[in-house]
Amino acid sequence: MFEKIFIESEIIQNQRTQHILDKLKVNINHQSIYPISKIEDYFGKVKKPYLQKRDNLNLFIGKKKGQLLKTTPAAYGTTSGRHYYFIHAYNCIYECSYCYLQGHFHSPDLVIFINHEEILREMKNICQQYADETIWFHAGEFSDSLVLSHITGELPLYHQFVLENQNAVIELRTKSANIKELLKLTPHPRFIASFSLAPAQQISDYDLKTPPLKTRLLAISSLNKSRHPIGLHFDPIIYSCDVFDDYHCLLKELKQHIELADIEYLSLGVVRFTKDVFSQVQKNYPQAKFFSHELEKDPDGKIRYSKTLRFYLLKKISQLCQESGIPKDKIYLCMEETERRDSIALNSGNQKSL
Amino acid sequence: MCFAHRGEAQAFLKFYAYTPALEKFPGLFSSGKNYLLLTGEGLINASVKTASVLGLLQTKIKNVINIGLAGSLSKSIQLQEVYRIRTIYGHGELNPYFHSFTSVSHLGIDGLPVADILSHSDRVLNSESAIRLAPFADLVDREAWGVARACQNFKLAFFCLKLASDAPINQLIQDEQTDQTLCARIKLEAQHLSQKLLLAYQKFDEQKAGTCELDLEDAPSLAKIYLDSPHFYFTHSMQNRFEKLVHSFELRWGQQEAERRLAAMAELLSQNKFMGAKMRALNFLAHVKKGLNTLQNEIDLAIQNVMQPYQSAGIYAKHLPNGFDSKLQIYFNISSRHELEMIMKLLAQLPVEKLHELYHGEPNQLPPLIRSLESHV
Repeated sequence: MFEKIFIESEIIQNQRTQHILDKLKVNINHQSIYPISKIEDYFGKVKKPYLQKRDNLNLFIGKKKGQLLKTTPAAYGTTSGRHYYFIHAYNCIYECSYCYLQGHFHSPDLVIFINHEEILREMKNICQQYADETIWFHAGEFSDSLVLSHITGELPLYHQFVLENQNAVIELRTKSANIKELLKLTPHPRFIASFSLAPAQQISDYDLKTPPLKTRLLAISSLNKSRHPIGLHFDPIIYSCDVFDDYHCLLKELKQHIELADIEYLSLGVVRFTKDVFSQVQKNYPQAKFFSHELEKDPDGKIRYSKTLRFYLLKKISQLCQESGIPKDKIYLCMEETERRDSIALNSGNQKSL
Repeated sequence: MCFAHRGEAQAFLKFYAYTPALEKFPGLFSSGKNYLLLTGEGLINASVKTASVLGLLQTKIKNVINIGLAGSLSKSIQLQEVYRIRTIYGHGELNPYFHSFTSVSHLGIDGLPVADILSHSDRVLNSESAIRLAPFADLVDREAWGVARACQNFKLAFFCLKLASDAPINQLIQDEQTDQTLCARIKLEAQHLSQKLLLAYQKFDEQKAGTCELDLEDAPSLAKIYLDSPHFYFTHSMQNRFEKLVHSFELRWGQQEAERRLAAMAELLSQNKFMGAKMRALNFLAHVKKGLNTLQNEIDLAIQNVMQPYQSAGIYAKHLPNGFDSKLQIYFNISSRHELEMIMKLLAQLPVEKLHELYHGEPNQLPPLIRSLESHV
């Protein structure tokens, strides 16, 4: 799986490091293991081509330093509560052609942090500081939060954290179908697995190396049957001639696997890039179909469809979702300005569909 | 072909019967078909010499290959093996350089193993330095990054083949090689190593010639046909925009259909004798944009339909999406109080809410148009 494994010397004997190496079936003395002083001495110091991850992916194991928790950007999660994301890893084994990670780290190599206790300590501080508010902690901002969970083994710690902190909600964002570790845990309403879904064709066109839609739906179904709460993300929505038909089919398939009224929330977001990511995407995937429609630079610096088109897509898909049985108050818009989010998600449901 | 030293190049010089190319440029040889450059050792020499020759010979050079010896930084590297280099990293005296270069040597060719290389400003002579550098790449040399950098400036394809000749990773500090001992040893083996490089190069070159992917002559792009046309004049920024739009247009419609549509647009515009070449180019841009954004066009059309009676009276609306709360800007010209009163009367009827909803993509404001578009799709 990994060509070289770099481990910070300080944690080379750590039990969690050993656990990861055991799971990867690599002996500590193997020639692929390189002890290093600090991850930041090497990771991102030189520009490693993103697509080199296809045949040369390395792994770094170390301790996250600096900020362990970050407040999310505006319009990141549901409108209620405070939102933070915690960083347990950098980069991903999947290769989604729109992924912002390709312009973010200057290296596609995977980094796994093992100092979860320190992260949890910070999370606890936040929970105590805002004791009368709901605090959302999102995992999966810089890496898929479930795909390697059988190797990294941190899920029980975060699950326990939710049990001990009454105002904490943890969201595990994923595109994987790797739910084995999650199924070992007792379902808890504040420990939510949230799946990014897209129409089957979009997944095969853009979400390279990710599980196909059917596999993800089966994973959702089995978590749902075990009473684990489920969140959904239709993000990024990419415009194509068949976009509404495709989402209609997706919702139909989804309905066969889960009662849509039961989901915790659904977020909708339209494809968007920062300037740096956009130039990387153009370089790495020049034939990607999202370039077949003009994207423009928004006043906030993001490159995306025109506002009118974006809102049209969001409103139409929001309508389709509501018609399929997703309660309108469970739909929110991701990365759109707040005053519009409410009006789109909540008002469109009252209007007649086309 | 770029080599650091004559020793590495000797088999090539002999086999291809290279002779000095230019009196004023020692180290540059020609075989009639190819050029061979001895850059001298180190990143700066490699970069400066290569850039000078590329500037001098300009279009005579189609692509560049750096061939030479390298040290191993990894136990996975086989000594005496020739590697096709994939990514080239650079390292100064103290720190790595952020920029890396990717050669095309690893694409579409079988036979030789692939490795990344780190070009260091200093010789790496012991295991301590080698261990420190090993996380960056499996091989270390002193020229590839400099040559690659020069090639990037000239937008030329870059290939790289390196023979792993020694292993500083295995060299204990107390047994550290000196510059002299290393040079003496390499000198002794130079003929044999150069011969090995020549054999590997010939194998590589044979396959390269048969690989379409490596035919690096630029295919004329669809946009270029019109950028070169005397009927259109594109400024530099218009050119960039046109190239991007045409690329999107090809993705949107497929190559054949895009070609047909663009040709039709170009023909129509070329026939317009009232427009200058720049105006035609501006119109061409607008047409391509329209042909791309069909859904957006339908929305724009719906807005235009609402505004039509007002526009006849000289009242125009503009959407200002700046900031988080978008605004409508209404503007008009008057020449008398009477005109102002007429306009105020008309403005009182302006369907502001409807316009706002249209600009915010409200589906219910657009049904007939969008429905027809979707059914068309």
